[in-house]
Amino acid sequence: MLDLHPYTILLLVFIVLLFKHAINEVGKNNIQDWAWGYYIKFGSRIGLSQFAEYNQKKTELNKVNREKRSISAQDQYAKWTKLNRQADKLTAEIKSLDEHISQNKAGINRVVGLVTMVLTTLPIWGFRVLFRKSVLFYFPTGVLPYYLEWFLALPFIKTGGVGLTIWMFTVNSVLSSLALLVSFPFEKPVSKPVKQTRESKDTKTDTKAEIKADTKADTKATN
Amino acid sequence: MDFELEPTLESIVQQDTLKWIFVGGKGGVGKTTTSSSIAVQLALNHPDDQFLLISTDPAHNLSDAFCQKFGKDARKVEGLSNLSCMEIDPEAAMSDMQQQAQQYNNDPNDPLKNIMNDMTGSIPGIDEALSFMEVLKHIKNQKTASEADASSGKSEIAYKTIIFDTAPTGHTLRFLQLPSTLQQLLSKFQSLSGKFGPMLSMLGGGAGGQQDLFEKLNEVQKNVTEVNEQFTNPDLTTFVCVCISEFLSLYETERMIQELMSYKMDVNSIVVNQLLFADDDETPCKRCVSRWKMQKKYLDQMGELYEDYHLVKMPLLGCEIRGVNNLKKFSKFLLKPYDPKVDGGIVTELEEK
Repeated sequence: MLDLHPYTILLLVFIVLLFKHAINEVGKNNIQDWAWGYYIKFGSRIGLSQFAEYNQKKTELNKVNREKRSISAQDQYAKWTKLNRQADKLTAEIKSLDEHISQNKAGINRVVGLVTMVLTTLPIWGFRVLFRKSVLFYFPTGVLPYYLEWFLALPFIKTGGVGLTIWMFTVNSVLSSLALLVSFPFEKPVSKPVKQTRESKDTKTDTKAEIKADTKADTKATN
Repeated sequence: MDFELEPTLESIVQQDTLKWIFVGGKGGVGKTTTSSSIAVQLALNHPDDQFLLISTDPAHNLSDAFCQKFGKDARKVEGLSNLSCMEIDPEAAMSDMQQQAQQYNNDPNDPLKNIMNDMTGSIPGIDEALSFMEVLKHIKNQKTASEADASSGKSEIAYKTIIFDTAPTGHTLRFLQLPSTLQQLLSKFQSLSGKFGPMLSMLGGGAGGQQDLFEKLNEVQKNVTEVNEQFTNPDLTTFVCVCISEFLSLYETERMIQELMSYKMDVNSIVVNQLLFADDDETPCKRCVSRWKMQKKYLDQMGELYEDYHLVKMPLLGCEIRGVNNLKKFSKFLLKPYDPKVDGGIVTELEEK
């Protein structure tokens, strides 16, 4: 089995959890969107054939449409119709390419999901299984009462030691508090609810009554 | 590649394999006249075979075109013994079908009844398919009836070619894309009925009726697939587009041709109707001359656009083309291109009806 120094485990667990929290904060959807964006950007740059084709078809369609708009359908019917046919064909091709590319999107999303799982969930479970018995560090003697130390050491480690369970719990709570602290200033401010006073209500009904009176007068006038 | 296809419908009239000829176009361009003319020419050119002309247009112009009353059953044209006509109202066929469906499922408490109606009603092209199947059933009935006659001594009627005068309601042949849709739907239905069948039978107490409906849909799908195979075979089926030499008509024709091609139907003939041929008039009328100029402009464009089609140019005559004799005179020009110098007399010499 892996023979890691307790401090290495401690640090690794911390890093993995930090990473996990960061991902949670950013949001999986955002990450997938970024991945997709980069895929499109670099895909067309390194010349994945379908992107090149797609872009070329798009520009071609634009050109055809511009040309179509520039001539009169009635005066140059044959030319216009030929352009129309071309545009129809291009549109159909673009649509099928589009479908093809969006199928890739599902693939990209799957890869992103897999990567995040490999980087976060799997290591945590791995640590939990492999190092369930290792003691990361010991409480200084006399800080906690014995029964508490005994309880915290459950189920696998020696009394008085700190295992992965406690460590992960601590790190998680600290990180989520930190995340809240960091993200709080960026939250959208919520406007303070204003209590509706009786006066404002009255004015509202007043205006309604006025409108009603106006319409009545109007209908009378028309009659 | 500079061979011109002859500007006639000879390939259609002289053929031996075609079973179905569709004539279509927007309203008012002369579909009925053209389809009648094609039917008349077919009948004249193959005197030993039987032909059937069917109108699915609720306006029923065939009776007017032949000056003879036609109905739901095929009736022979007076003066042309090997041509029969029938007029079918697709709407009536549709309501018949619906009544039939009601018969299948007459339990008023069946929770699925409305759902089924809505679902079957919302399949694109199903109404056309149903009305078309009704037409085919009519023809089949006709055949079996005549077979019964044959046993009693009369000869059997088997139509060599059936000509359809389609209604100008746009997606006449939308049902050609139906089989795939129906297939998907049926497989969905079947998996559903497998899962929920017992529950449905508890709810509605009539899973048997549902089964009947599935069977009915299955049958519809089978029929449509069969019809589809026939219609997409260029040896058996062809479509003749009718238009007039004006922008909107051409535009609609183009769209129709594209649509038909997407259904893999064979289109190789376009009939351009109502041309004025005002070049060599002895007493030129200004309006005719300028309108003929416009028509020529579009004709030129069409020639460029539809190089590989038979472009048949038909003249505009002095009066409505009605009656077998007039149709015979007019339909000549489907086979022999109209020459205003030689044939100009026809414009005025039709018998008034």
